[in-house]
Amino acid sequence: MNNIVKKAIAFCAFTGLLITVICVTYNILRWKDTTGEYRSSVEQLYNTEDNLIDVVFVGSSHVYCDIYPCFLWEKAGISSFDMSVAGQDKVSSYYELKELLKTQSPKVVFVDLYGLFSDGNGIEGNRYRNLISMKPSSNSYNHVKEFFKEDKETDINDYLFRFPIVHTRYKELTRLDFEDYIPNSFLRGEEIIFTVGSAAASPTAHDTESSMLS
Amino acid sequence: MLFNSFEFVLFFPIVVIIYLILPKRLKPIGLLLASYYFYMCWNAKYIILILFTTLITYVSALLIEHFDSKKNKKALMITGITVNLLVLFLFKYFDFFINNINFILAKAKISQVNNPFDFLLPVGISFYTFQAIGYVIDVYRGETKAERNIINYALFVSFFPQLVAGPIERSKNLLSQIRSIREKNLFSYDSMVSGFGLMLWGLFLKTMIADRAAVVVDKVFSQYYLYGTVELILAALLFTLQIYADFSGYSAIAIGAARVMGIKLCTNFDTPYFAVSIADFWSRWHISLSTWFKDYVYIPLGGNRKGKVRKYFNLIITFLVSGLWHGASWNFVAWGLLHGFYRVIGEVTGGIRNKCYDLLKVKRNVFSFNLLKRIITFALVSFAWIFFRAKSIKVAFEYIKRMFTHFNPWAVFNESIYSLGLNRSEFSILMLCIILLFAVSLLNFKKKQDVGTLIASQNLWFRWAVYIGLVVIILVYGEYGIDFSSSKFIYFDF
Repeated sequence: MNNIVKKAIAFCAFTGLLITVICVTYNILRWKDTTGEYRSSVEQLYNTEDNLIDVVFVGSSHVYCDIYPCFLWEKAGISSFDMSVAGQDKVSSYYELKELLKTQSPKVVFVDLYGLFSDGNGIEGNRYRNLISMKPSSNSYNHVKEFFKEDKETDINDYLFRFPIVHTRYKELTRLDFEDYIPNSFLRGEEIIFTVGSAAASPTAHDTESSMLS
Repeated sequence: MLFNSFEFVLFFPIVVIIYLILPKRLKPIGLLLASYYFYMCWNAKYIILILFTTLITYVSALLIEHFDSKKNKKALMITGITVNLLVLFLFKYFDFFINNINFILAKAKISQVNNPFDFLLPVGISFYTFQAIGYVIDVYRGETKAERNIINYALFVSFFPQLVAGPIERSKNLLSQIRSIREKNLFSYDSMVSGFGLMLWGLFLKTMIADRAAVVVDKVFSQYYLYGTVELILAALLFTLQIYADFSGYSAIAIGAARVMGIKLCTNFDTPYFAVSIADFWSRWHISLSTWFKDYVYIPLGGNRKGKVRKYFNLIITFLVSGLWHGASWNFVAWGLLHGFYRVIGEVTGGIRNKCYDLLKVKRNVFSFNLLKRIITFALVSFAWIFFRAKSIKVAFEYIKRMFTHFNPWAVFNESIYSLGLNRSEFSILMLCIILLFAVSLLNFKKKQDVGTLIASQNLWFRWAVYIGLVVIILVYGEYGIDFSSSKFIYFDF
């Protein structure tokens, strides 16, 4: 009997250790918006204090390019947040808003209707941005299931388990993948502002890696 | 469902837990249902073929045992084998046969036959058909008793770890264990640990070596006309390692998965690239198939009992059939024949070689002698794999011709090998894994134990470090996931 108990403890300890190591590995490799200097809306949401946001703007790049939460704060004292992801489709809008509502209680939600007619512009990277940037939960699971409801060709397990997509990031790891940084809270939505009639983005000065870590 | 898929990562623990929880009398049914589900994940309707094979061979064996007359027994055995071979022929060889008939008709300027059998090759059909045929012959020979319990027998034919790519089990081993599931608890903690380690090693071979080497191999073999000696030799050598890592990796997962449930499958690979001769190679490579051909083809043909010429003929026939078993294409036949000729030439020249050694006073009990024999065997086997991998015999010959005529030694120094699909870091990972494979194979060779047993015999800290290290390495560096298509085990198509 003693032997069985010992083996059961060893088995549980091993399983626990294995799961911990896999989680740590996943946290390093997990999808991050490297083309957006590691500042995705979802990442910023997770680093926002609970019940801080009064107004939310949900939508695609139109939102983060055109709506400037800092302006609302400075001019009207409204705490707002751009829950925006490049190529955000309507399914992703719904589930990303649900993710936000887990920790925030906004009084007003504005939704960019572009998502109703968009499939993420068919860009593969936008799928990843929308589908695997949330923390794994029943919400993210339902998000993936709903997104691929009509799609019989895509293996949704890749999106549910995520490792099949993110594991090749070992080729591009940087310090930011290993350190628990806090995304700059003042850059939300104000970083890239398209001017009317301008095709190209005219970004303001980007934060350096060191300032983001501070 | 592939072994290196996340579906299997979910499926397998669930099956093991259910298997452990189920009362002994229900365990075989549980395993049978799991096995059918596993197979149906590929193509549900092909389960009919397994059921058909199961039923035919089950009834054949019972009837063989029922009749006393040798003549009746033989007739039943032949019927059972023929029916199964016909199914195999229909699904695997019919189109090949028609194509060849058409080729001959075209030469004779006669109108061609135009009725291709347009069905997908059922996964693993060659494996379970051979296993079932082996059982019928064993019952005929009186080496095993006909199984009366249809559940036991159906599980023997379809046991999921070895269903689609072997090892091809014998009734004496697997069926007897299945029979005992109802009587005693086969599961043990130690076998579970050892099996788990073996499965991880198999996954390592598949995802770290086979699929990574495949990137270079696929590129060079598909565009061989662009490359010179260095790239062509490199691709041939990498294919030699790819097919070993792929198939022995699959076997390791299969044996490991069965071991986790307390069932021992036969060894399928025993460091084949350390072989000192082609005969030695075939006693170490795909052992379950080699022994199947030896017991059910070579020996019934007369083996070595009817003189030397007949022995050589039997060898050639056996290897020819073996080549055909691997695929319905002439390049597989050529590969089999080449091995047959290797064997015959080895036998014919054995005496002369020994005389030469004596004459030249070559020491035969030294490391350097055996090393040279191993290198020569490895080179011969690698050369033969070109026929196996090439699209056709014509391509294989062109590949070989180019390999010997487009000499480009500068390719070793100008880093052009890093443009074959793997960059420098990916190539380095592959090389490190191959070095690890070599070191582990050396351990297997010396200790005569598989990786699972070797790791399980170590202290806890080392075991855990190896298991967790392997999981992380596979998850991070393994070749799998999005945009990666070559993740099927090579031997599934045979």
